[in-house]
Amino acid sequence: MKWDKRKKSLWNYLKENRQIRQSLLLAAFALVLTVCASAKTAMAYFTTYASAGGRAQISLGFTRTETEDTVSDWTKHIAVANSGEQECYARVKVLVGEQYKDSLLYTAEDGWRLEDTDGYWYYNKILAPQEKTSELLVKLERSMLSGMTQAEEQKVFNVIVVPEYTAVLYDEDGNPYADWSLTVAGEVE
Amino acid sequence: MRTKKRALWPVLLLGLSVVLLLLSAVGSARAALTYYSENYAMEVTVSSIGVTLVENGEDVSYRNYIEDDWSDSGSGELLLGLLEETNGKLIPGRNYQEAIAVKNSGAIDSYVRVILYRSWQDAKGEKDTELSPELIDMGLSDGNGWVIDAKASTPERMVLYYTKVLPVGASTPTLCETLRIHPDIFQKVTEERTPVEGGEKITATYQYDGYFMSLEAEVDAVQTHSGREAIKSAWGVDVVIAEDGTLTLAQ
Repeated sequence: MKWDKRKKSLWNYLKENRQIRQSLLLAAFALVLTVCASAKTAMAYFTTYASAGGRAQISLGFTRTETEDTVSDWTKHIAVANSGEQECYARVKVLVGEQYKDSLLYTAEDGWRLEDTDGYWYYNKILAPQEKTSELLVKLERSMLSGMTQAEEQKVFNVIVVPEYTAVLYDEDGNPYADWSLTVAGEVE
Repeated sequence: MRTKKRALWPVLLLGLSVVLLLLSAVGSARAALTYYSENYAMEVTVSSIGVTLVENGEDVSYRNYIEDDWSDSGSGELLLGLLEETNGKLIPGRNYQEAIAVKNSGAIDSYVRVILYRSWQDAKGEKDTELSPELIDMGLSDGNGWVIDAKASTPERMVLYYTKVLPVGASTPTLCETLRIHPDIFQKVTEERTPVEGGEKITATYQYDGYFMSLEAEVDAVQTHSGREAIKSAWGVDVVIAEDGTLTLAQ
């Protein structure tokens, strides 16, 4: 039956005519499919990725020093031994009462250097594990002391050795250096 | 006669639907034919994209789209040869060679970016979030086409974009050259003092001894055609692309 818009609306015409209704639905479906297919093409981009990972273990180990401090013939024999796993730098400071400072005589074996600015004796070589510094000898000069002690019968002289060490660090080019702000310190009387 | 005309409408509409369907199908078929014909004529897969992560000049991981699948893929490991120069020991403070670059192993030009993740794991392999990842110092290259996206980067993650088009078969300059553990790793230390005959024994144990420094690198690639839209879609990032193809991160 042909649609006469003067007699009935399009909606009523479609309601009565099942075949035309089905055809229109099918056409609409085809249209939707076409649009969807185009949309999918427009949204696709070529992408890819690759990834990898890895890890490395740092071995800080531990550092350990043993300070040898023996006295013979009015002389302190100071040496620092590295008994740890890591190499380190060592330095010592010798402390004594102000009035006796001039009575001390230092004999530095190879590697020791006095830094006047801070009063430390620096051992300027890297101390590898199981290595020991050469000796730093601190002698109490009795001849200079005798005049001072005549007035007193007995006097105890305390010479305190403060050993310090720090792990060996490396700069960006692989050159070793010491950062004394990371100092590990002890005290030996 | 009139009855026949009336029956013709549904048939015509149905026919139209079929024609529409066919046209869409034919369109796709034509596109596919063109696509495959070009591939055949040039003996390359024109539309294939591929990317390779390169470490110290060696290919590590790659993922290339060839012949309709991703079977041309492989994944390796970073940092394998890192400690060779120091006899297997990772020494804080020292620069180790860690040159990372990206190679276009596909058949179309692409834009690439790299995301570096750095982190710490304790001696048991558990992630430690208290130790700063910034102690793992990546020596990033400067002025060779790589830029860091500061907004998207964190101490743990660094996002770097290569600002130029990466042509087929070409490699980017290295985005980083070195890797270094900052000496501040020595800061956390416990001391133990023991008197010994004629002296004292001092033992310093470092808290982070045995920790693992972990590095991951992810490289992403995207087509240059409709590059701005492709990057936005794939990476969610707004960029500006100049006429010469140079990419700039949008503010």
